[in-house]
Amino acid sequence: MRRLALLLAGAAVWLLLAVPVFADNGPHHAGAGATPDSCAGCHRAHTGVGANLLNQSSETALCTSCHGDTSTGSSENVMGGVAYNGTTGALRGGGFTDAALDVTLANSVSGNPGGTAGIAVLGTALASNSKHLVDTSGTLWGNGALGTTGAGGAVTITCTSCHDPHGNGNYRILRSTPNVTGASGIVTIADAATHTYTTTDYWHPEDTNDAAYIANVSAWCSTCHTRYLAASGLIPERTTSTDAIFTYRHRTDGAGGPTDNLSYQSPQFTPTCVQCHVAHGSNAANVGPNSQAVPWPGTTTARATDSSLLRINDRGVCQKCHKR
Amino acid sequence: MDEPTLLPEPIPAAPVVEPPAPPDHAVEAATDAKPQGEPEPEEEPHRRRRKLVLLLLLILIALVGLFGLWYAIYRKPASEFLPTLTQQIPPHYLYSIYGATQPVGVAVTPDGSRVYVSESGGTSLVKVFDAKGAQLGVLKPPNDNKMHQPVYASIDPQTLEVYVTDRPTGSIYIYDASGKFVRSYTPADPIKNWQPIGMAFAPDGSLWVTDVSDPFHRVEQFDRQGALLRTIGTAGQLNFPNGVAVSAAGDLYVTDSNNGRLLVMDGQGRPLASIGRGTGEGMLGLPRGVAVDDAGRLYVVDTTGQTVHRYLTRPDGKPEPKFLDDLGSPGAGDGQFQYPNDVAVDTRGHVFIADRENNRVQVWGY
Ligand code: HEC
Ligand code: HEC
Ligand code: HEC
Ligand code: HEC
Ligand code: HEC
Ligand code: HEC
Repeated sequence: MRRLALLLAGAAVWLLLAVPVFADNGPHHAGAGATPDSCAGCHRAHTGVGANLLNQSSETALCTSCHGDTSTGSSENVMGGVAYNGTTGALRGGGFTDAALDVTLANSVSGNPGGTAGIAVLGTALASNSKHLVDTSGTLWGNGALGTTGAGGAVTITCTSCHDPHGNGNYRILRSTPNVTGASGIVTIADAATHTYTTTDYWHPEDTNDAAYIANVSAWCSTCHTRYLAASGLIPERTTSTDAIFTYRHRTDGAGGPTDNLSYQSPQFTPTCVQCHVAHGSNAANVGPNSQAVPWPGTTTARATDSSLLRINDRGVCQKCHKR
Repeated sequence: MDEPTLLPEPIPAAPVVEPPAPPDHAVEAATDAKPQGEPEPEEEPHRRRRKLVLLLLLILIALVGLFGLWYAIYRKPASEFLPTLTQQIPPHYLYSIYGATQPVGVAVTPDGSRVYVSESGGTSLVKVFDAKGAQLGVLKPPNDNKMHQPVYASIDPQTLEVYVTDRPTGSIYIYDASGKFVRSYTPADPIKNWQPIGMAFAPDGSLWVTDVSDPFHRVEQFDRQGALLRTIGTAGQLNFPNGVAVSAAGDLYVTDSNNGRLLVMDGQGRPLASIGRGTGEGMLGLPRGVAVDDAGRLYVVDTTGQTVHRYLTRPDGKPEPKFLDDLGSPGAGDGQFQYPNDVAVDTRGHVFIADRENNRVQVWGY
């Protein structure tokens, strides 16, 4: 009897201690979801060696404690580009060290660009050939208003340049204004009701839930890559932006469908940044010589030989929309 | 002041196999030899016997000496036999094992001769080292054309087989002591999209597993045939349970990592006590690997605390572990940690810690 009482008391203690599990968003919770002691998961009061009492030398290492290979604190391995939820699927953002995009353009030789065909997911992720370099200095491509000299300043970004670790109620806790020198504008992307991090098709990665993301992502990327955001041009004369580098630009604003007869195959796919690019890293490669050596305006040297986070090898993305 | 009463139970006899008893052999050989010697009698039987005795004595002394040497090299340090000291003396840094990139898991055989390290970077394999840190080989997953990523390794004390959880395939692979893949461990009643992470063998040979699969995270106990005996946790309770360890007394220790707490349960999984999240002494941030050594000391890795907390289990017989001290400090020097992830102990007073961002396994000892 005494023992039973003891056991019951023990059980009660545990129940009292039971911490609610957040359906999603993990430890990233703003306001109501955050409990004061949840802070200790990432911050320690007295022993911090990193800035912001983070007790770490690298913010990325904090994130990869839960989102790295093994990902024992979440289900998303953003390094390997896969989800560990037991269902098939790879992460929508691709991956920083490996990614699982089937980057070959199916049917391209038969003259039937796969406008509606998808980009499948590989069974085994392959090494990424391009990525948003975290913790390494790089050029903030296209930063600054049209007419700015140069391609953009040198900056070092990290996970928290784009994401707010405390949670902000936005889609993928993306910061309304990224945390990097030069970022400008406020683009708040509303969160979806359900969070699906995986896809089985990198050409149609999003679900109907994510309309706000698709509608706003180009504006969001352009808070850093300002001059890449371009609206519809005029046929037959395209408009020049007068910028020395970004003079003529492909439409990227994601608004509306095709406005002309450019053999546009897939009216449902409007060019947004993430129709052609992934957000984290891609295993696509520049296989052909033309794609490998695209010179940067005003120079004869290629900007980079890597695959620029594209979803398909070479310029395969173009043929997904244009029957050429 | 009340330290003496907090002492653990006396250290159980070392479970390591004694060396084959050569003295008996020598005696046997000697008695065997005796009848052979009898055909040539009268010739100074006393001197012969004295010689024999002397020889036996010499052999004995040599054996004792050799045993002593073996003992000194491989067994517990003397401090471990003076129980009054063990709680006061914290372990100290000895050396590091290099060669694994971003190691997340570590397991060691009871005698400390084999160290298994799962790396999250590099080759994403389990690397095998000897006690001194020389790499002996790797554990290769079965070639099933799938992605593999080992998380934790655990050693079955009965067979010395090595169990490895693999995250992408949601399975446990079993290797024999020589490192050869033997078979996959699967629950007898298949669990949909099983996601095993941490493992621990109970004294009765059953296997405890932390499982982060849907619909809710839990801890499972399986018998040796894989039949599910028990499930701990219901919806909304556990949040990425990670490490699990069983003490000699049969208590179960589980880190409920994203809830930042350590749960103490009895062998039937009934809750006894817990240690919560916070920044106070012995409180937890992101607790992961756990281990209990044969002196009843509990080690809990705090990944974001950049340390390993040391507690005493069953102080005064009470289930709530008593905090002793923290191992190390944040940094890259000897004895410092950057995002440690797992801990393992042998029966010789050594503590092995996977020091992830420093790309090494640190070995501490008493
Ligand atoms: C998922 C890990 C994580 C958790 C949980 C967390 N933080 Fe942070 N925090 C960070 C990181 C990373 C930074 C540095 C980057 C930045 O400024 O956002 C930071 C920065 C901060 C800063 C300084 C910069 C700023 O944004 O004002 C404060 C203050 C802060 N955190 C408070 C808290 C409090 C209070 C809690 C608990 C409610 C908490 N944090 C929980 C990761 C976390
Ligand atoms: C303690 C473990 C932990 C740490 C540390 C952590 N995360 Fe998370 N994160 C989670 C969990 C859990 C989720 C929810 C999804 C899931 O259950 O897998 C999540 C979700 C996310 C999401 C998706 C949020 C959404 O709204 O859908 C992003 C983006 C993210 N984390 C970024 C980060 C970044 C950046 C850091 C480093 C500053 C970080 N995380 C550190 C555990 C963690
Ligand atoms: C916080 C500012 C920031 C935001 C927001 C941002 N980027 Fe970047 N991006 C950078 C920086 C800095 C570089 C150059 C260094 C590097 O590669 O990380 C870069 C490089 C790139 C590159 C070239 C990569 C290569 O291989 O050289 C592409 C493509 C790119 N970004 C696309 C995007 C897209 C698409 C988005 C929106 C989903 C986006 N960026 C959002 C900062 C940003
Ligand atoms: C340049 C901005 C940027 C940087 C840097 C960045 N992310 Fe993201 N991240 C995004 C965007 C945009 C998405 C949404 C991708 C989508 O849905 O297409 C995303 C998605 C995610 C997700 C959800 C899973 C997925 O792939 O969709 C997680 C988790 C995450 N990021 C974590 C991280 C971590 C950890 C880091 C640092 C190692 C990081 N991110 C760095 C922009 C960024
Ligand atoms: C129609 C497909 C497409 C769209 C839409 C698109 N990109 Fe690109 N992007 C490319 C290709 C292809 C490259 C490789 C270089 C090239 O051909 O100009 C590239 C290269 C880049 C680079 C690397 C620097 C450079 O110019 O070589 C950045 C940064 C970049 N894109 C950002 C963006 C941003 C930001 C958006 C959305 C505002 C966007 N892209 C939309 C196809 C696209
Ligand atoms: C997501 C579908 C899509 C993809 C992918 C795509 N385009 Fe387009 N493209 C369009 C649409 C829609 C227009 C019409 C834009 C407008 O409204 O002005 C267009 C217009 C054009 C034009 C006409 C000139 C102009 O500035 O509008 C050219 C040239 C062109 N695309 C080339 C390319 C190349 C090269 C690629 C690969 C880097 C590419 N497109 C990828 C949809 C796409």
